[in-house]
Amino acid sequence: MKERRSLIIWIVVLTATAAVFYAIDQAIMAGQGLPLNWILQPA
Amino acid sequence: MRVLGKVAGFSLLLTLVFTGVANLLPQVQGEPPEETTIDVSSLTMADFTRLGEKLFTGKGTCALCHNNMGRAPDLLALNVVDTSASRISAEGYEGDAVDAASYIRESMTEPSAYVVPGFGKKGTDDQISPMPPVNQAPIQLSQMEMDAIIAFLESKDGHDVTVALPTARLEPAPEPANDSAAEPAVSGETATAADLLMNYGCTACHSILDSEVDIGPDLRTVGARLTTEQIRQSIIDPMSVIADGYEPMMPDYFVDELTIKELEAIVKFLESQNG
Amino acid sequence: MPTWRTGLTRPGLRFWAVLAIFLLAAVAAGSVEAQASDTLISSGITDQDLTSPPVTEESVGAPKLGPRDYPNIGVSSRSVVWVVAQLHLFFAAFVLAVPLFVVVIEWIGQTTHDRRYDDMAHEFMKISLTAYSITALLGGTLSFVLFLLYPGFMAFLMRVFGSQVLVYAGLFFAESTLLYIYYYSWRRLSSGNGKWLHLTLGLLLNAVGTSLLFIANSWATFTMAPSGVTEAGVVTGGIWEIMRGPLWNPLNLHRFIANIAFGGAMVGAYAAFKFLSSTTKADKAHYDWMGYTANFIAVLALLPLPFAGYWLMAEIYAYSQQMGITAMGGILAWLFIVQAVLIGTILLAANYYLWSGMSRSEGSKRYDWIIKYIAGVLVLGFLVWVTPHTLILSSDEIATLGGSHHHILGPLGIMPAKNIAVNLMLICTFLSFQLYRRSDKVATVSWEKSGNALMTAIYLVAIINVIFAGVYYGYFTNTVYKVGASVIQVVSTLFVIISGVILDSFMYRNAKILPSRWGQVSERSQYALFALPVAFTWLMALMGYVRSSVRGHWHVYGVLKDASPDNFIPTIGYAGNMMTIVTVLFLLMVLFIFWLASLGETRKPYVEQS
Repeated sequence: MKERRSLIIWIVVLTATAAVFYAIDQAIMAGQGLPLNWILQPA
Repeated sequence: MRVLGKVAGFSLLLTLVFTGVANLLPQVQGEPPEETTIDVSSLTMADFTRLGEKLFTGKGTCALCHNNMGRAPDLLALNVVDTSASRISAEGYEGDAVDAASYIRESMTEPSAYVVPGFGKKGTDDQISPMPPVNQAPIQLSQMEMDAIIAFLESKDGHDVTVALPTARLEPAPEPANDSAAEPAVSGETATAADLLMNYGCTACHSILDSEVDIGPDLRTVGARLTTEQIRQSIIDPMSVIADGYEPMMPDYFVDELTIKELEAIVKFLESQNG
Repeated sequence: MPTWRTGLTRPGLRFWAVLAIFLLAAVAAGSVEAQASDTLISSGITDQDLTSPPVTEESVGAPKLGPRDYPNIGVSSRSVVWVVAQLHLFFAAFVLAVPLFVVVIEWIGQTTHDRRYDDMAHEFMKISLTAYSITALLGGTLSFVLFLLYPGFMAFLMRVFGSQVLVYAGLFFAESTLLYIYYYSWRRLSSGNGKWLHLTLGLLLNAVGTSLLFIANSWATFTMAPSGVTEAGVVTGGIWEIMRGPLWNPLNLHRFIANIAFGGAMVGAYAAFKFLSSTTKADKAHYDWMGYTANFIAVLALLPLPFAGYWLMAEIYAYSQQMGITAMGGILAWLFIVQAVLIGTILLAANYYLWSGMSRSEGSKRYDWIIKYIAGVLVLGFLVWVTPHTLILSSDEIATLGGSHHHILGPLGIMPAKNIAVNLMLICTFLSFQLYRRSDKVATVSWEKSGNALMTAIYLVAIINVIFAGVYYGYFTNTVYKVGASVIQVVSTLFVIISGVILDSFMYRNAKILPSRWGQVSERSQYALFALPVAFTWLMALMGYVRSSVRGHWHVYGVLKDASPDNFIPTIGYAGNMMTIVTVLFLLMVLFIFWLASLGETRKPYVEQS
């Protein structure tokens, strides 16, 4: 029972993490790379 | 002391490993672009296209991007003349070129006049080209060098070369052509040395012809003071020798603006000025 | 028998925080100044009115130099300047970096009331002080040889920068004064309000030092990407416009971080040297801890460095594609193979030191099994990284290599493969670091299991993401996606690092601390602390050389041509030999400083009362 619970936790955590990474990837590819110049715009 | 020796030995050994790696790699030296000095009198069209090919991979640095790695159109694989024709007639072309030679020249001096789809600067929607104008710093090709490259690009696919050899023509100075009245005087065979001295502004600083100024040395006696070679040198590289009592302020761009015939005409005229 | 506690749990976080504040302050200062100058322009007063030289000077452009404008002293002028400039840079980087973390450590000592920090900060400062006079000496020599051997170039620079040089001189004077006051008032201002005054002095010292760095950077970036002048070299802008070129801020950030990594590595070597030569247990414990702290600083500063480098390189490409390609795809590209060897050495040494250090605590047994996998990934990544890049080759080079691509290694030679390798190596290094930090602790929070599950998931997903982004976008789609893919990889790596730091700071709150035995680390591990600065030094020489020589045959890119006999890019072997000469000279001078520092005073061992 306890093992099954930790397995569920593990699957939930893994899926959530993967979803977060996937969202970040999509955002980056949509913007064709984060413009680093946002941070420090030179002259 | 023993520790010091061990530590020094270890550090030295590691440094030598890095040195070894650097020495194992292929050893190539990057030469600065050669200053092309060509004897125009004996130049053939074959020499000229060969010069163009050398400039394409060398001083012009064209091959850095125009190769098969997809950074820019691969000019060596493309039939440049045929492609130029289709570009000029393409929709969205707004340049002034009428034939292959003028299209290539325009691409070199105004790269953004027409940007091949997919090769524009990122984020400009192919409106701006990442290519630097080759007639400006840092590449700084002269008119003649650009002609040589055009000759090379035309000839490599078996087309006729439409640019003229440098000896066969005298083109107007590429710099400010806005003074339209002055232009006819400097171009063409008829330009006399006197016209040239006026048009290039020599008379503004030097006493010669009708002018009386003392910003630069008096040229009415220059034939007596300098040899022909020295006169030529003073025009090509004004900073090399500065006449006593004068500021080093003569511009050094005449070498880029004067054609060979013009330069020789001026030199010949000046060497006859011996008081 | 005193028990030594790993003291950096919370202060470690604080160190990071302060570092971030420093960076932000530097950035903010830059943008405030930029805004100030914009405001001036919009209110009708231009920079030019405020700072530009008289009109007569303005109308003069860059000189056109000929071979005769360079005095011939019998040996290559470039080599002379190369050696002196690089030595000056090494020492300058060192003396500017040390006070940065010394102030932070001193502050940690003040807030934790742990005298060990204060002692260590003071000892770091002592090494830096001797190095300071050598820096000044080398700086003087450098300007002397530059004016002597490159008079035309220096005259032009002087005309462009004008009175800014006086500001530099003034700051240098302030730096010297503050440095000596800061060091010599350490004991006198050691308690009560005096300590805060002392910390303020340290802060001032760093503000001045960083300004010095930024001014010197503007000279370097001006020669690469000149601004505020026309193509003919006629000065059109004020000094601010000249300084604020497109590469200035990227270089400021890059050098600032790199200096900290370099300084950390150097004092680490000092600690290792003292560790190996000390005989008492208390001394060994002290220097083991000092070496650990120094390594901690070096590695923490090293991790964000590739990203700062990426930014600098991106700006170089944006400024001039030709310059970027010369650096990354042309003749200089081979140097990045050497760079891979050096960074590989640094990462392996840093990881090895962390693994050795884990033996200080019994808690590390839990993590022994994973080290062989980390080592495996590091070595594999290293091998992929040193596989030569696909280059633009001249016929000579093709002949040497026997073809433009290697037929088997070709796919590993392109950037996506290297990006995968580098990012995995960084993730692995952070894993080693995290395991090390955890090795003497047992978490007491109730959600430990879920926390670990989350951390494992983040590592797993990040690694898969890095590999997937590299393989899919690098090999199976159009090249235009490659840049975006490398951002995905970088963000994944940063995600691991940041989430790891945050998660652990919560998870190990009130953790049970297992005993650590400082000083019981193997002697062999100390050599990792020497490998680090040696590789750093060589790496700085290498990257500085790349930065400088992308200009090709220009003193000031596109403005002032180099007509000296040395205006070509030498072979890698020649450059490598020069770097070795400079590195060996530097290391000898540093060993001399270590020896000087060990004279006169013997450290009074501080024994923590149990």
